[in-house]
Amino acid sequence: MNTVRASVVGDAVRVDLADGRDARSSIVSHVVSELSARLPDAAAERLRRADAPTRCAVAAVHAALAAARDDARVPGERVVLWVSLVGGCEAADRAFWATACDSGGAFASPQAFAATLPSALAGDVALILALRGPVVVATSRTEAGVPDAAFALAAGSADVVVHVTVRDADEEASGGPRADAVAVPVTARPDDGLLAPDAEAPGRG
Amino acid sequence: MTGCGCVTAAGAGAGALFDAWLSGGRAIRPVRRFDTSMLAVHVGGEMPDPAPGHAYRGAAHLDVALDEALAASGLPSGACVAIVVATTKGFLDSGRTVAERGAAHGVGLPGRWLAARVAERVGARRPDSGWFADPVTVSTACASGTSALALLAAAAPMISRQGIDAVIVAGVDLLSDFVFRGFAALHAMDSAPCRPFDRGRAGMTASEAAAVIVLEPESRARDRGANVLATLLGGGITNDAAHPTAPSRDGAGLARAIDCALRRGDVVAADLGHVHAHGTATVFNDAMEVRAFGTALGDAAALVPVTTLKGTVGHAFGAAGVVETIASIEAVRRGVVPGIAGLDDPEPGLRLLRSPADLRSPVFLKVNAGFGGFDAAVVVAGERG
Repeated sequence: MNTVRASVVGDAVRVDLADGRDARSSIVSHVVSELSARLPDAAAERLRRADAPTRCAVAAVHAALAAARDDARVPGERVVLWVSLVGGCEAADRAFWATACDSGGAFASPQAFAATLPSALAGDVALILALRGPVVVATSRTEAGVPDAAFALAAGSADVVVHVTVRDADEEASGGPRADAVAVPVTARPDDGLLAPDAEAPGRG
Repeated sequence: MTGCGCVTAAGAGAGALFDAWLSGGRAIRPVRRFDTSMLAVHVGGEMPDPAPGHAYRGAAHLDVALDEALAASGLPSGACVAIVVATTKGFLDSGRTVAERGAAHGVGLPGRWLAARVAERVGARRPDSGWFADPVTVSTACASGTSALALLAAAAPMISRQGIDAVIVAGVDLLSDFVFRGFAALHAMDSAPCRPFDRGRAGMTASEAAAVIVLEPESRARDRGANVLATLLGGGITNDAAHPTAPSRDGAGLARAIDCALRRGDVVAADLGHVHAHGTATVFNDAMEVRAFGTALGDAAALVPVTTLKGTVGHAFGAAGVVETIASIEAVRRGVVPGIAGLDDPEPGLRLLRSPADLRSPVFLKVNAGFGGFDAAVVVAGERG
């Protein structure tokens, strides 16, 4: 297995291997349609309905995991998914409250409410990619690279840690949705360039 | 664990919470803080009105819980303290705040507030570097509190290595018109006080809480002569990957989390003195838990007493795991496991407590689950009083 970084900016997906021997690029819509064709109906439907940040996160995690797994078979139970959110979920909160503020909440949208949880995106990524191992959603302003705590969680029960940083939906206006995923085999936990703090990546400052 | 403190619908203090739980009574009442007249549900578990002087209601309650926990722990001045907060909506107290884009909106606000308060109260310093250098917020829906504890159980060696003297883990979530209308829209709430694990259950009761636990590396705590209330033995976190808002029907995800917690805690099911279930009283959650306990605990599932606090104070969402762990620590200390308020006709297959039971063992299992398929479990050894 390999250590891999996948970045999604707008509709572009870029995948880099740790040793620099390969760099692949694709587009989100291609990754999503390729993935959808192989998913069970419920997961495919969830992906079809997903918002832009969630599609970005799915594409980044899928691309990183696929390249990290290479030919290795790693079941979803053996993957730690660690999601770092930048900011909260203000756009989702406003969307729900727009349905709930009038009429005393009698016409509030249940779907919009479910999306107001900061963990909604992570839950969707896990559902779509069948990741049944530990899934954690955490924020820490000083987070740099893959959190040590993710490896602590993986010890003895997972083969790969995937750390994905997702830009807050509210920041879409200032550059589009963005997700950066790093997949690291637990056995190879190197302190290489991919794991170092990256001033360019959102959520690392 | 050297200190615990909380504010719930039962009032301030872990003692008040346990007394309410043991009494079999209910701290679930008509909601006062916002209008529910257009909804089918009008009851909830509200905390008492907070003391004045805080910009945020959640901070006022968290302050009370922090005071109680710090007083119990006797954490020394100048200790290196990490902050972990479990929450779903932070200090969000009103839908109006959303419309106004108030500062209470940020889910990271409780962590930042708590870090400043702890520094002020005990002169604590933050870790110099690493993941715990800034306050951490764990948000995995209603599994947040137990996820945070499970994560800390796994990270314990790392915490010791980094020279961290203590971790203050807090759970906080508020009952607001925002969340109440959301759960009403999902038809997830009972119009009467909830009845966990009852065959006639009809949904949860929404609630709120602020709770704090002080965790220290065990050797350090004992060396300084702290009163150790409980030891966090192990934890497990998994995901169902099945449905955005409903639990998996087979309970396999939660069973795997329990199995992981038991394995990491070096505990077998027969060692458990009680199980503190999630027990939201929704039809699907409780059915899922019955299956999960059967899978993970095997023959012991029918023998180990199973209880939950939610019939007494309702469901405090992201804070539930921390509050319910505190309640179970108090149960061990007092040597009695309270029953489930509102339970008349129990689901078959488990030893669900309708009334208090004597404590057989100080080791207990705490589980929670949440929207997004999140499952978490911890195994804790309490200390008898």
